[in-house]
Parts: sequence; C-alpha cells; structure tokens
Amino acid sequence: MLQEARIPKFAPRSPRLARLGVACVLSIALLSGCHTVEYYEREALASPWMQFDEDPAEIHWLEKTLFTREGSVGGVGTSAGGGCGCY
Amino acid sequence: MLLTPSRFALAALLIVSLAPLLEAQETESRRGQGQIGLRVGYYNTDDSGDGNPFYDESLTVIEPVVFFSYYATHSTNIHGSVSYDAVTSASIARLDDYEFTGATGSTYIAQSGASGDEYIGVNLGVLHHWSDALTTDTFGSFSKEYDYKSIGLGGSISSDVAESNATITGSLQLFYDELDIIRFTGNEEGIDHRTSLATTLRWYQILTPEVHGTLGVTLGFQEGFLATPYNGVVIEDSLLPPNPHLDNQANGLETTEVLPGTRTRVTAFGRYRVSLVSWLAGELEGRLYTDTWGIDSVTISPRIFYWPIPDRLRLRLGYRFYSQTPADAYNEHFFAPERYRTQDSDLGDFTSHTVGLQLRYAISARERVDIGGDFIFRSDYLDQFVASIGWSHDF
Repeated sequence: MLQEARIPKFAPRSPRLARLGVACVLSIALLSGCHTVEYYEREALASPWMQFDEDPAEIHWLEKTLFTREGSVGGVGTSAGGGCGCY
Repeated sequence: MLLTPSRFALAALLIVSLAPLLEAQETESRRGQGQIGLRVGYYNTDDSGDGNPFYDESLTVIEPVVFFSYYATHSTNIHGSVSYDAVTSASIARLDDYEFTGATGSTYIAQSGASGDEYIGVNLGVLHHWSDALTTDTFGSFSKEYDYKSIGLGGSISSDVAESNATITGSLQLFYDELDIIRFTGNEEGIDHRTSLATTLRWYQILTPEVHGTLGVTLGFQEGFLATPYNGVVIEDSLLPPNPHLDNQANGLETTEVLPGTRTRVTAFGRYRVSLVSWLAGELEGRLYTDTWGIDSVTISPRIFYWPIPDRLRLRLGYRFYSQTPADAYNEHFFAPERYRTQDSDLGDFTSHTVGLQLRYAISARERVDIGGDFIFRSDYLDQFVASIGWSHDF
C-alpha cells in the first residue's frame, strides 16, 4: 500500500518566508555597510521634522481601529497582535 | 517546574522592570520632567450592503485616551495610559435584539466586531537608561470589555552601536486573553483563552546626514480560541426558504465561525525619512507579511512632513496602499460546513487606499495640539473614517 507522503504544514509557506528573510538580511547588510555619520553632521537629522515621534496615543488608536481591520499585524507603529480591545 | 517560553519571557520582563527601582545613582537633569496628554479618537465604518453580503458590519467607536510620561529619576521614566471606548455597533444591536426578542423574532442582521458597548484599558510601563547606549522599556497592560479580558506584558532592550549611528532593539510582547464565548444567537458556551507571543528585532540606522531609517522583523505566534465567537457563517442551500435573519434574505442557515487554533505570523518592515530642505521631509514605509492562515499582504506608505510655519505648524500628508490575499478558511459563499470557515471581511481578499492629513500646532515650546483624519477606501467597499484630536504638554 502506498503511504501518503507527509508534507509539513508549514511547507507551502516556506518560499514566501524565505523571500522575506532574504530581503531582510540583504537590507540589513546594506544598512550596516554605510559609512559613519559624525555627530557634527547630524544637524538635519536632529531637527523636529526628522523625528519618528508619533504620539503613543495616536499609535494606540490606529492599532485598535484601522490596523485591526486587516488580516496582518506588526511593523512600524503597530503591535503584533493579541490583547484585542480591537474591532 | 517546566520553563516554557511564556514563563521565561515573564521572568525576564520582571527582572528588567524591577531592577531600575534598586538603582541608587542618579543625577538631576531629567528628574521631574515628563509629558501629559489627551487624545480623542473617532472611528466609523458604514455598511451600505457592502463587505459580507449576509451581515451588517457598521461600527462607530469614540475613544478618549489620557497618557503620561514622568522621569522619577534621571534615568527611569514611568509611562502609561488609560483609555475608554464608547462603541456603537451592529453586532451589539443584534445580540441585544436576540436577548430581548429571541432568535426567531430577530430581524436585525449584524456582525461588526464588537459585542459590548464599553471598553477600558490601562497600560503602565517603566523605561530605564542603563547607560548612554543601553535602554530597556517594559510594560504591563490590562483591558476589559463585555466578553473579553486581556493581560499583557512586554519589554524591549535597545543598544546604540557604531558611534550611535545605529540602534538595535529587541522586543517581546505576551498577551493572555480570556473570552466569554457568546454566539450570534446569544447562546453562551463558557470561557476560552487565547495566548499571543510576539518578538521583534528592529535596526535603526543613520544612512547619510539627511537620511535615516528603520528595518525590522516581527515573529508572532498565537494559540487558543482565535475565532471571533459571535461571528456567523452562512451555509447556503437553495432548497431552504429565505432566511429572515440575513441581510440579503439568502436561502441558508447560520453556523459558527471556526478557525485554526494556532497561527504563526511573520512581518518584515522598513521606514526611511529624508530631509529635503529645512521645512520639508519625505518618508517611505513598507511592510511585507505572511502567516500560516494563508494571508499574505503588502503595505506601502509614503508621507510628506511640511512645516509652513517653522517650529509652529506642521502638516503631515500621507497615503497608504494595502493589499492582502484571503485566509484559507475564508469564502464569500459556503454550501457545506467546511472544517475551517469564516466570512469575516477582514480575513478576505481586498485592497485599500488610505489618504490622510494631520495638522500639528505648537502653542508654545511645551504645548501642542493636533487634529487629523484618514479616509480608507476598500475594494470591498467597507470604507472607513478615522480621526483624532490631541493635546500634549511637557513639564
């Protein structure tokens, strides 16, 4: 009797995960290769219009309304699921 | 005692959050400084026969949030928030209708995501600077609504490297949720649980004197009761009479939503901002997502930050493209009770375009107000509007 081949449940997803992983590793490698920017060169980066300074309450609000109406989670400004209080 | 990943995470978070309290050294420069703020948010989804064809998915939420941040010592900051939601939703109305009239008498058809008209959430955290280069942040949270309680713990550790040209941050979040299983008929089936664990590795990098950005990966795992208890699924059968409980009077019977008991989620994300001139900056944010339920998604979000009055008035203009594939268990129409089944539009196949605008005005060097709104246009026509107004004061 032929035995049905056991295919790991995760297998169909692995090509996509592998692409994600490769993209991340390449991106991080590119970033780490950048030259050092000295303190005295950071005037523009220190200016108010360059700050990643979203209000935590604004992030909280978007997380539980806008982003929870999507199937995906995580990333900049969003938590990784759980805790609900979402809609 | 078995050292499970959850217990290990809990122990690590407790150590990191309590250790700053034992610290004796301190200087005066940041002690007593902080911020307090208030934000009121408004969210609305109007269902005009769109999305799920069988149910009304309309929903309105108004939420005030009070938040604070306070340096108890030079290196230890205590921060937190308290939020309250007033919710009006079609699913609450439906459950109420079932409760008061009985299932057979109900003609109000709804499924919009909320089963209670109130929510309260409390979040408290401790941030500690161990040195100029090393910072930890831990939090605990509790939230409660009619049929849902959640306890959350989390923390992060950040380290500056490469002469502060880069910061590496690792974070961990753990949520334990308790759900009252209340079905769309109002039937109660006891209590179930859901555990969510997520870890994120984030890399911040200064690229040039005008460009900096962040890259990261989040790995999440959930187990337990992951379906939405009050969500219904319609099994259509042309031999049955029109069902008065359904929005479109379809021929079919309702049954419960069933989804797998585990879910693994992977997200890769990045954000870069470039200073164009002294009053204008541009930003590009992107995200790739995949999970074991079959959902893949891509997000691309460019933004412009414009200061028409330098140091006073800031304008943020944004666009967000989002597209996702459906979950394996999702179908718009079922003709047999599949093992896993959902008709939740948020787990379906859709694309959305969001346009948003925010104005932030600095009343003084220490006080700011802002107002903003986002319109979300979805391909399944479940369009949404999100707005908020905020005030904050540094002390």
